[in-house]
Amino acid sequence: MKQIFYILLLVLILPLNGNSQQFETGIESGVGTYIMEELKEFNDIMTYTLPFDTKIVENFPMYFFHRPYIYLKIRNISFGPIYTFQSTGSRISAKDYSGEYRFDMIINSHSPGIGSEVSLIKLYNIKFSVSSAFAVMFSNLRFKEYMEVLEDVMVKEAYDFRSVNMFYEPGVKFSYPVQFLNIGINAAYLFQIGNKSFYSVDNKEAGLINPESGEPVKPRWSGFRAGLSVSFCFPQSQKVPVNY
Amino acid sequence: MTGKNYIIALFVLFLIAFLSNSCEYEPHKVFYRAVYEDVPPPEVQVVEMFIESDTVFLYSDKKIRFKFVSSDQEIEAVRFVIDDVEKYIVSSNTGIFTLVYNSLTYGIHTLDLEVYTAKGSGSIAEQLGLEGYVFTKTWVLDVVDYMGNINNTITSTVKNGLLNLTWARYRGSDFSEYILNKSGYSAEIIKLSSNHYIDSSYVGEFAMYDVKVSTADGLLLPWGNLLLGGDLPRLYFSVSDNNLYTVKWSRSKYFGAIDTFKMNISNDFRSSYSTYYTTGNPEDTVCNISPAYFGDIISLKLRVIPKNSIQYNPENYYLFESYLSDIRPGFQFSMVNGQVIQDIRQVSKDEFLCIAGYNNLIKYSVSQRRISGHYYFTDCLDNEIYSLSASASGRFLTIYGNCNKDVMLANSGNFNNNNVRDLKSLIGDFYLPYIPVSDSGTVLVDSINKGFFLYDHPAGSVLTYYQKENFKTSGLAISANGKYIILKDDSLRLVQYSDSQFINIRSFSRDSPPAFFEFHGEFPDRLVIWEENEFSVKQCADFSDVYRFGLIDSRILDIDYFNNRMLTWSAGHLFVRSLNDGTLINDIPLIIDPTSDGKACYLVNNAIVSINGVLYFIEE
Repeated sequence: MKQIFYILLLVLILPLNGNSQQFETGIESGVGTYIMEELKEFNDIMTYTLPFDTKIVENFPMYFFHRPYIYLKIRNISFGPIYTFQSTGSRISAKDYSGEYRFDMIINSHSPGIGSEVSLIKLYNIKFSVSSAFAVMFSNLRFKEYMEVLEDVMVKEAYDFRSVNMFYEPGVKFSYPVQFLNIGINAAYLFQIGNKSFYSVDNKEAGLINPESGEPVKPRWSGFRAGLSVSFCFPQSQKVPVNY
Repeated sequence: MTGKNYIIALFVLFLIAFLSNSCEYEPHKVFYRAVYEDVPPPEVQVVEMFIESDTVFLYSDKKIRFKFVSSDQEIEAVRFVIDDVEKYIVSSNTGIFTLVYNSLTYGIHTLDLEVYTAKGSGSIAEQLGLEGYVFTKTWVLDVVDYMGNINNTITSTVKNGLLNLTWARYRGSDFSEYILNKSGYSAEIIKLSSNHYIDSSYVGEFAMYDVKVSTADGLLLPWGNLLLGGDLPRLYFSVSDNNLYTVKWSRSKYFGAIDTFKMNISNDFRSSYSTYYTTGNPEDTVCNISPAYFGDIISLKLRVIPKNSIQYNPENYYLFESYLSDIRPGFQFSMVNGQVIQDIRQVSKDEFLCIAGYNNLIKYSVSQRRISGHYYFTDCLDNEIYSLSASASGRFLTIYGNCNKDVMLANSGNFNNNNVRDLKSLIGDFYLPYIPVSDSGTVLVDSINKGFFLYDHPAGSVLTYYQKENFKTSGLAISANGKYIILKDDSLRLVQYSDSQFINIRSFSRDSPPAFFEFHGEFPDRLVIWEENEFSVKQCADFSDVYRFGLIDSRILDIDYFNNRMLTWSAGHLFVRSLNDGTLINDIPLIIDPTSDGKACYLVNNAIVSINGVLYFIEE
């Protein structure tokens, strides 16, 4: 982890010493799919251990991710620090006149890392690039259980878990300049690297265990990512022909 | 400028990153379950449960089997609560709940039954067991402390001559029957459903009744017992003024169960009995005892024969018999029947003294038929009285009394007018001879050595000592005035004591003395003597006759000088004769020998006094 930190710090500091480079900063937002198969399995177990009928009304659906970045742009290669925030969740729910039960899982990850783009071709001002990102994922999982029966709150509990993994995300990007902005469309697939399981915030020795199999439960952020990006370059340079 | 822009860009990016955290996923969908809120309650029916009344009486552990069915909704649980404390809960519609007798305090408790059913709505609350219908039933639970009263639970009464037994009713719903066990020497078992039983076989004999309760579960609970110690007719012996002997018995309460009464009599100290009287009439409770004679000892036995009893058999006859043992026919003058009487001494025209029961000196009035004087020593445990002597006139007496067995000289008219002397220095420590006494208080003290002392008891001094070589000498009697003494040494002698000298008046053979002799009770200078069928009253001074007459009876038993009569005996007869001429006044049939030990008879006023403690009144 220390090596990753020093690499990031170096990437952040290096541009401060250059005068001939150009920077591109922007934000990429979109939706992603998330496998989360072990957490879904956990939900399944929860449903049939409860003494009354429930339903998984939300089960880690596609949801937004956000990724601001700042690249150092040298010729047709751009690279620099990125930060990725992604989130999804689930709910087991039951409600009638006598009360309500809900079991929510909300999971997010904060992922500082390094991203890069290589512009390959440009046709009619549309630039096609390939991209890649590599980052550390700090996953946060929160259980929230709530049960109210006959106007009496019987359960209101929350439990927090953590997990640290990494990801590598290759992708493609089409961008088009509009005045001083570059508007882009991105598509990628996130591969989670690492298989670290969740541990309790209150007690790091205690992990989250599948009650049926007894196996530790892990996050699975892998999935498709698709979104839009907006960026601009600075300082603004004179238009010079670019040879590809 | 480039670096500054870069810093600004970084700041903007971090701001964007921070703001993007607020875009965290938040679940919001809700699953509304399909439920039916307004479901009518079911009908719960009892399939099995045996508590039919509102009060449950608990006498032992009680198992309550239950089974309920519900018309629609399922029965979720059955719960039993005692005094608001859950005792049993089962998640079923059937089960067995045991009321544990020893776990509850005696008295009243509350027993609640709660049957829980589902509501039928399918709601979350129902699924969690927090919603449903409850059907309750409450009983009063009475934990009965019957063990503490078990000895008193059978009461007996008598109605129409029959024994009625009643006991507390067992109020438990598990009652099966009462089992009554009657035991004397044969056991009878009677089963009945009522807490009342009429025993038509009981006639008052010893019997034990024991009741147990049999429950539906097959338990036998001890319920009560009764010990009847025997209530047979009591016998009473009485004698009339004309010396008729009668036995009466109390009317039996159990006449309804009695067939026959049989009166039996024994003259041989209960070795054998013969039936003397039989009756079947319960009102006939009197029987004259003609085979009884004065001075005799008889025993009576009344046997009550039941109409119908398996207890009545030869081995158990005694259970049906009342006894009156060792009766002395006659009018009882002793303090209690059978009391040992010793040393009867007439002291006046109507009264005599005796030692009754070893430690009572009594004076009895024949005409008044009551004890007219009583004396006993109270200062020590060993307060027995020995060797009562009276002066010839009857005015004074001597006895050994108190703890030290000193000699008490007393006025027979007033026992408290007495004088006590320790004469052991004269007599010895363990010798208690009779002390003949005169009206002056002069007494004859027989020494444990060869002679006897003439002793002035009031003065406490020895007057003289008399002995004769080679013969044991005894002072047998002293006249009322103290002048004359009858003593025995080598002869039987009448002597006069004068000036410290014994002057011989008359001597008789030591080996064949007169059949009867003693100083006259009324005239102190006279002597009565009976020898060779001649009864004579003589002057002591010269032994001359005052008068004499022939008397051919077997034995002179006693002379009543105050009433001038004498009592003699010949086989089968007591004779009361005139002291003047021996004429017969009364002839009383008698089967005993009054000259034998323990049969002695005396004459006092108009009564013959038996050493057995009874009087026979002479018809004037």
